[in-house]
Amino acid sequence: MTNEEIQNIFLMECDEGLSVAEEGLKACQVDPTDGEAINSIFRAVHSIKGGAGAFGFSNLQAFTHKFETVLQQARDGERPIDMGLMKTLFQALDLLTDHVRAIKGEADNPDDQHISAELEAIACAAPPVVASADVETGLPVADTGPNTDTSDDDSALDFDLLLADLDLDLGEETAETLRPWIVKVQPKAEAMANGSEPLRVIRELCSLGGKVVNLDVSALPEIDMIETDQSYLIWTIELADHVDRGTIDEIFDFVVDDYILSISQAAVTPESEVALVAVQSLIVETAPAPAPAPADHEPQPKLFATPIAPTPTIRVDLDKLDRLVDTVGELVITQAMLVQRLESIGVNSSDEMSQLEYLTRELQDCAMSLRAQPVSAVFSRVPRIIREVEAQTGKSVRLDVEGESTELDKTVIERIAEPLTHLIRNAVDHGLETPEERAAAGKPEQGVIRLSAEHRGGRILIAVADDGRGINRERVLAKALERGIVARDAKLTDEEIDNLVFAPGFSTAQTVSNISGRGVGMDVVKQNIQALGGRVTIVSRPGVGSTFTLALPLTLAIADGMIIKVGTETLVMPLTHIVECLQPQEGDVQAVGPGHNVLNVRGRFLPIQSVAAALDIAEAQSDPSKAVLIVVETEARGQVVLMVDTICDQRQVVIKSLETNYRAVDGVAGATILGDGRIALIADIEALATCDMLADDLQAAA
Amino acid sequence: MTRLKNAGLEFTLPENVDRSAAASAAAAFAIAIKAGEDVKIDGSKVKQIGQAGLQILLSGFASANHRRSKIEITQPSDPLNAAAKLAGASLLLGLS
Repeated sequence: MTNEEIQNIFLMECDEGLSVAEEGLKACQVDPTDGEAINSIFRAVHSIKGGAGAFGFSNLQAFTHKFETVLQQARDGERPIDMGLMKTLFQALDLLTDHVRAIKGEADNPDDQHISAELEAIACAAPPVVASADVETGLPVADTGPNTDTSDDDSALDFDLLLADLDLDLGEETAETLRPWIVKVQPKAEAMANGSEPLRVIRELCSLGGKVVNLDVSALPEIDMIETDQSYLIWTIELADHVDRGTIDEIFDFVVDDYILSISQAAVTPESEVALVAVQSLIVETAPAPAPAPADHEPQPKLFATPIAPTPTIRVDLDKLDRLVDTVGELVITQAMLVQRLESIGVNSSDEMSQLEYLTRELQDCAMSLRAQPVSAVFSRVPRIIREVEAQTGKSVRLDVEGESTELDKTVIERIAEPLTHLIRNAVDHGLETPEERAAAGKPEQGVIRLSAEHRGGRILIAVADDGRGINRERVLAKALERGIVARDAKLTDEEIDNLVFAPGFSTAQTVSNISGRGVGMDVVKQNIQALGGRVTIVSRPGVGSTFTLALPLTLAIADGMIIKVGTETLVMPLTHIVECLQPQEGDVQAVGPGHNVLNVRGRFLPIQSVAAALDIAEAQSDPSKAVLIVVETEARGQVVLMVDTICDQRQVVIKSLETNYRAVDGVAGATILGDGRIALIADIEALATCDMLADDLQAAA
Repeated sequence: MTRLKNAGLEFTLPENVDRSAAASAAAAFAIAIKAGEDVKIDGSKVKQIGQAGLQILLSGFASANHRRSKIEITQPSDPLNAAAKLAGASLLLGLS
């Protein structure tokens, strides 16, 4: 490994460490006596400090040193963890994040004078602290309370070994006084078939005081490929140095042929390789943030936020992945063309074609999953946003997060960061009441923001919910009338009033602050989400709270579409918008004015929009009673009926950007290549539904 | 073994999860996970489990995760918890 590669690993470990520290601080907030939480923060900061020193990031090293000193005092019980200290620790963590961003070149060096001085003042106010051996050596010591054993600090241990591998001088950071036994136990593939039970060996090693410090499951195959007679696991067990080597050997006396063994003392070269493998499992860009430290002594699974088995990984340039995704997209098109060509010569189906279709779909799924990342990448920014708004508004907020391991496309994740920031700030600033108002309303003074993500129906739903006052519809409507956003005589439903908050320039904030209230946030949210092919919905109950839900596509590269014909043109309609398709019966279509019709859909009258008229397509069906009517769901007008000539097919289409290859065209979201090689435009349902402004009035009239 | 209402799999591990039982479990998990179904594993009856059984569970969890299916072990027995803890696999299997 080159220095640069190891430095990159360090930078990734910094992110891991920051997440761990964030989680630890949150745990401390809930329970200031949580010793393991403060330990985890200390270890994370300590690990960052070690790397910073090794790579010459002096600013980062200096700051982490001060941070670490205060954490150490708190950990050693020399300083109670009160509200004041928590506030300083959170501020220090935010600054540490800024320092890490600075060494990555993502930001300038932060001004840490104020917080540094505060940390120094806190440190000086406490008795001098002597560094304890457990952390400085990375080795366990007795009587430091439960769970202080740093053998579960994988990241720190691994990184130290990496640095040792580079022969970098870390001074006291790598100083070692004890050398525990490291026993690596790899049952041979056929060990179990020979009647050996590896768990018995592990149990015996543990009975000598050993502890499993790593369970390597990287060789485990997928469940459909696994052979139950074969062994795939590798254990690394640490034993105290006072255990006699002969005692360890005795355990394997009768089964030695069934195992590949490595018995050595810590920090020797072969074990550095073990650490390298462990670190490499950490460096996947898509790896979720580590979970809070476990309550028991199992170190290695805390590398994963959810129960995910570690697998061998490599880092790949995003450009290469994109090329792969593009090529797979072309393959999908070619496969569709092949099917169509064969059908044209009378070959309608064959096992080979079915297999090819299946494999193509699998390949496409695999390719798309390569770009998937957990939403924790963007959720991790939220606690800091909330802290900032808390400080600015004087409100107290608890953040609950769910589903942060939910994955979606990297580009989508990048583009939801800004909308999510707006929603969170808005929820705290507008949604939650002040502590006094909450107390008066009989609510706990601390408000709750719940951030969640889940997959549902081929989309991902990200919800920001608050338990605040709910949308004040009277005030929203009054403000909308005042600004001329709605007509004086308009009769709006609760839902429509709620949606007014997305109108450009709309804001009900009494005072304009730098948090929100400028009326430029929520319309930006809606625009950004719509640009991603998603939508935003609001559910609000007065006095109970509001939930803003972003429904997003899993990917921007592929969509399930309905192939339709309008006149001479073939178009694709994204299935995500389509509610149902109808062939109207006699009397279902009613004229409400020249050229304007509504469709009676089970008692509801929905405006009919001619796609031909909207896109100026000639030779199309103009009589709705003879056309195919497609009910679509839109953000702007709810359900609208689009009139087309015929429906040809339904298939997955590869989306090609029209804007990149040509220019943006109103009413067209993109293009795709059909099975017969023709190019079809992908309809922009929102634009088609809103191009006839009369439609809204018709709906209101109906 | 029963099918859940949402077409998922509910699988009860036997008392002794030996290699034969592990093979049965692997086959059932593979079908459900490949079909994108959720898997619920009842671990309440387990009295004995070795590496073969743990491997199947670990592989099942990893595979389900790759395919975005849900998988969980419900009511793990004490022996199951102890074996997972001994092997350092508790958190990977969502066990305490």
